[in-house]
Amino acid sequence: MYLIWFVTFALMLGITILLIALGIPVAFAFLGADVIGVMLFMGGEAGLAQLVRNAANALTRFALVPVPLFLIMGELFFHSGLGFRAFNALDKLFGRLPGRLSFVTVGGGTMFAALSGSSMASTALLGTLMVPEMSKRGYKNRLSIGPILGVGGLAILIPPSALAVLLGSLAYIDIGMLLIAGIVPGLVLATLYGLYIVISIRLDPGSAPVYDVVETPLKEKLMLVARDVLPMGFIVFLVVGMIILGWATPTESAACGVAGVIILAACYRCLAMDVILKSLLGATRVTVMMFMIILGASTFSKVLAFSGATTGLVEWVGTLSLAPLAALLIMFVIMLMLGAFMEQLSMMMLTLPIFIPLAHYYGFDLIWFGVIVLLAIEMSLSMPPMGLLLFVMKGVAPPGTRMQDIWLAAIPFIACSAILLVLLIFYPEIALWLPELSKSPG
Amino acid sequence: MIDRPEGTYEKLLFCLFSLGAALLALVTLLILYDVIARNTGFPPFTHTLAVTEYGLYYVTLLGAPWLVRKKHHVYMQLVTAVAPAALRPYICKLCYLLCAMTCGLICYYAGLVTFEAWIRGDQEVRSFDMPRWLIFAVMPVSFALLTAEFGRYLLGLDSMYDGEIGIHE
Repeated sequence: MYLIWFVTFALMLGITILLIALGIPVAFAFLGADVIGVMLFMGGEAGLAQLVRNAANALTRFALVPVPLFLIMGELFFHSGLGFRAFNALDKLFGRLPGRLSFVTVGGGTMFAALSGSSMASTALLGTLMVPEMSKRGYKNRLSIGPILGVGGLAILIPPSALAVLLGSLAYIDIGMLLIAGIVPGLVLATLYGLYIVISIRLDPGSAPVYDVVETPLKEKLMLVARDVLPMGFIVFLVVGMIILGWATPTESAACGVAGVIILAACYRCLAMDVILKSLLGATRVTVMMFMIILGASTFSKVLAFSGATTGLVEWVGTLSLAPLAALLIMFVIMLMLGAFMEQLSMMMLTLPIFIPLAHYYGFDLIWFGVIVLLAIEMSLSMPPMGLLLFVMKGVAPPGTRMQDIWLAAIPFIACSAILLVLLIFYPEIALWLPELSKSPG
Repeated sequence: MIDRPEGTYEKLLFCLFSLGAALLALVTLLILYDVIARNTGFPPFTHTLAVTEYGLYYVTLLGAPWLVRKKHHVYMQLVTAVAPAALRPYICKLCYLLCAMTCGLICYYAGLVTFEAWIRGDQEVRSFDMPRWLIFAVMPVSFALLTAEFGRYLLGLDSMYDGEIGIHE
């Protein structure tokens, strides 16, 4: 019996990883492993027919609807130019603060990442927008490229996060609660980034040279806040506030977020048919890419469950008598290692069928565990040598930026995430306080 | 950036993808209407849930072939990028072949499941009834096009890989 589940497990994981490493698109690598899996463990031809039915069941789920809606919202922000307006406003607000461009990156990047919900979009945008300017001003890589890589991953933690919705939907965690649970850890992480920048400049003032900036009068600053920053708060309220207040489900609040961005863009006269079309096609492209992976991976988890591999693994882990903390750290490290050569959704699809039963076994709070998983994904995205955001940054950084420079710049920000992990382990309330608050009556 | 289609066949793939995008827009509008209707006393649209769920499934399968054509499915070049140059074309061909075989096989079985559902006259009972074959029907079509797309790469008409190591999305 021991051998059967172990062989099933090794075979399914091995085939999937081999196919992905060969270069087969992830969705089709999962489907390839599924075909072999159902032939061997689910009754041959009957299993293949089941694969087709599973595919339909995997995607006809209402819980997945916020994903494309958040993507539409992010694309609208990007194409309408609303994101740039907020960013420019913050740029003026920071005035002559030493390392201001790094702070603008963290502040504006956090806001942009939260509103766009896409780590790749924020990294690409900030890399194009900020790195050339910071390099020109003599900023060292760790204070120019580093903060961008850091805040890029924040989009996963701070709602509206499409990945959090996917995680909630796939792991059967309350999506609304998971979205809310990411807020405080996300803000703590942004604060840690800010602290690192302050300490870094104190220790080495030359890493972010001070330069003359035209001072913006207070009246104009207030005007900018009212015009370009506060309305974005309205969108955040629509998306997050309505869930916290129990006025709307995550899906409904996501649809309201889309409507909010459209209204806002119309008010600022930056809404055109071209913008809507580009946003819709862009969101459809990412949706199809993500959902094809889910379609492929749905049967993967079914094969593991049907063959007894998942139960076998959980029972085996039980015999090891591992402390819950040790088990959690092992799972975290596995995710980080996978993130070194795998993109975030594939990583989730590969590990969740195994990790969620283990989380149940160890009695972890699933919302808290969900935040830990999101943090692992966030870290793995900028983890050298292969984190996805490192390549996005390489693509948009000024010519001559070496991959090694990007790796070194990412490390301090990964360390900040590690600090957050420790905080979350010892103070789970950081993640659970807000969801508890929104659950409590009145 | 919008990828512009060229030629009749590519236009067909783009049409299917655009149909998916239109469905996504419809889903957004339906949910918005639901929220507004519930809060203003207007009669709700009872089919929102069913249309939305089937919509997502159709969006995915309608758009998948276009994404293969435009190389937008996420993949990682680990082996292909580090393998000796002489071996690389063979690894690429192997990948295309495996993809084409997988899609072809799924296309065949999806066709069988669709046909069986049609013969048996199975009904999907939701807020509205619909023949179950209609749900499965998009799958053989999509996977037939996917097989054709990977077949195209296999025949050397185009290449999916650019030789740069890393994750491609």
